[in-house]
Amino acid sequence: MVETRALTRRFGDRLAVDGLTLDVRAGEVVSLLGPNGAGKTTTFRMLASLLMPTSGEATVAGTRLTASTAGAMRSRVGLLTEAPGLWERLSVRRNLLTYADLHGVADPGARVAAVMDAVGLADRADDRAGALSKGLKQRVALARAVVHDPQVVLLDEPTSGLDPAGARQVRDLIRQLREDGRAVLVSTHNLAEAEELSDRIAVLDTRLLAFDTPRRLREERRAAVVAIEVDGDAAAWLRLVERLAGASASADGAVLTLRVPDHDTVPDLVAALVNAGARVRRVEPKHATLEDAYLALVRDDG
Amino acid sequence: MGDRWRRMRAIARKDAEEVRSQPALLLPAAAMVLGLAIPALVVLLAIPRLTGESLAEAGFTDAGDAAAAMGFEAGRLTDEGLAQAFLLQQFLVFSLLVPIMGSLSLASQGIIGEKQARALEPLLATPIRTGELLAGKVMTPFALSMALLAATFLLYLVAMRVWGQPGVWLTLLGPRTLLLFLVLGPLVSLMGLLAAAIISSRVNDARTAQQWGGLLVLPLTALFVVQLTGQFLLGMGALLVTALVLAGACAVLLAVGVRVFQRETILMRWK
Repeated sequence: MVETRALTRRFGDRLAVDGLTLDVRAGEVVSLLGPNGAGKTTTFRMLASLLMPTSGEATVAGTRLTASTAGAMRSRVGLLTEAPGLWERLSVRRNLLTYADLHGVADPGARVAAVMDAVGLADRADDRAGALSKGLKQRVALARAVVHDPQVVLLDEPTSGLDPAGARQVRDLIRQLREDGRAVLVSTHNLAEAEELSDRIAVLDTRLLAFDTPRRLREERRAAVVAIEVDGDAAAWLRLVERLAGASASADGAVLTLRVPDHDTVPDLVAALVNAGARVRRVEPKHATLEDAYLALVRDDG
Repeated sequence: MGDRWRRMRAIARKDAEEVRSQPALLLPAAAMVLGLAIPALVVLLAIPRLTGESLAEAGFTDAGDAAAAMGFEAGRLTDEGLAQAFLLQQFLVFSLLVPIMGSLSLASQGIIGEKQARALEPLLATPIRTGELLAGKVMTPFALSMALLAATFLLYLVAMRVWGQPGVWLTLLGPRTLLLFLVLGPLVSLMGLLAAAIISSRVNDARTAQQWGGLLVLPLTALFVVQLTGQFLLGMGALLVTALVLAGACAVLLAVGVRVFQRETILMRWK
């Protein structure tokens, strides 16, 4: 449904996206993770035909992106921008009807009623958009992104700034999009949300650092995180283990948490600690979280 | 063409609803209609009645000659009627401020409003072409500024029919007036709209845009002042030349406006 090959975008001397290759299938949610300035929004803008790539290819819903196909592609893609960008003086219905007209929807009234119903806004149809809460505005923006029934939906930080209940409603809507068979690409800084929602996760920092299922991303990093419990304050051994392990470590009470490049280095580390006078009580491979995996990827890249 | 028209109409309709939801947006331009017409009517109609001295007696006999030179039939109008017809034509030129100010005020508000609401990116993610967006954004302000110009015309027409010398109101239906209202009015409105679009791409505040756009008023004011001094008579020939100059200026502004309204330009540079 979405396929990019070596997709690259440059702004003058600055490389915003470097050789991105990924795909999103129908009925799949893929999350795009990355620090600020990693190129997530630029990627979305290219896939929504708002920006042309400097080089590389993007194929969306069977159409390859070129200057001449951009208009046709836009009718097959729904984009939720980072800010809802609603016309606040107009009603929810008028906001959506305008977009239905811009997309050439055949029966705009019926379609708008259907999407308002789908996002739970049927009873707020005649309210001014500006009078809605942030969560409801985000739902209107989501309804706007799908009012033309696109095959591909791009959601740029859809739950940013929402309270837990609002974020949950939006996540439920994203799941519904997947069940409807759409290809959904979500950008988020919320790693727990990415893990909960996504079939696959792409970690981007200008270039693609990893692209896999959440479970595999975690597992790849599992052996590299170890917790060592010692007698007394673990901070006393921090400098030693950092020097020996050649990686970062943290101390919390009596527990040292190490990110080591290789699991095989752990026995030597423990021996070195014992030789230096530490009383080691417990050594435990730690279950890596997606956050561990993500931070390790971004740090290794940096 | 059907889809294009539908997209432009969708933007224009949306803008019209936004104006309807905040009618105060129209107040400056509506106030200008009265602000221009009332002083003119006071000079033409009220002062001669209050002072008991007609325009012809107050030394406007030359004006009567000029009115005749402008094509008004001296035989059909009294001396006072000719003087009224001449002065009326001078004030009518100033009426062109109405479409300029209406366009500037509404268009800059409309475009900067989109920037402030961060509504441009989702808008550009639809199949609308940038030329259609530009056209759609000028349709409502253009229609409203033309309505205000028509209101100005009707105000003069009714006032001169009721209180003017016999037959003076008919001069408002002559070719000079129609050229002013049907050709120059739309042209200056279009110029104001395009200027507003270009200026609005660079500033983030509607008032700033209007202040910059207000510079367009200066040449028109100068023309009005020069006319009143009697050094220059804006006859049909001069109006036609003015129309051609305005059309050229609109073409240049359109070319700049289309460049400014490119998708990537809007996304990357309109901050």
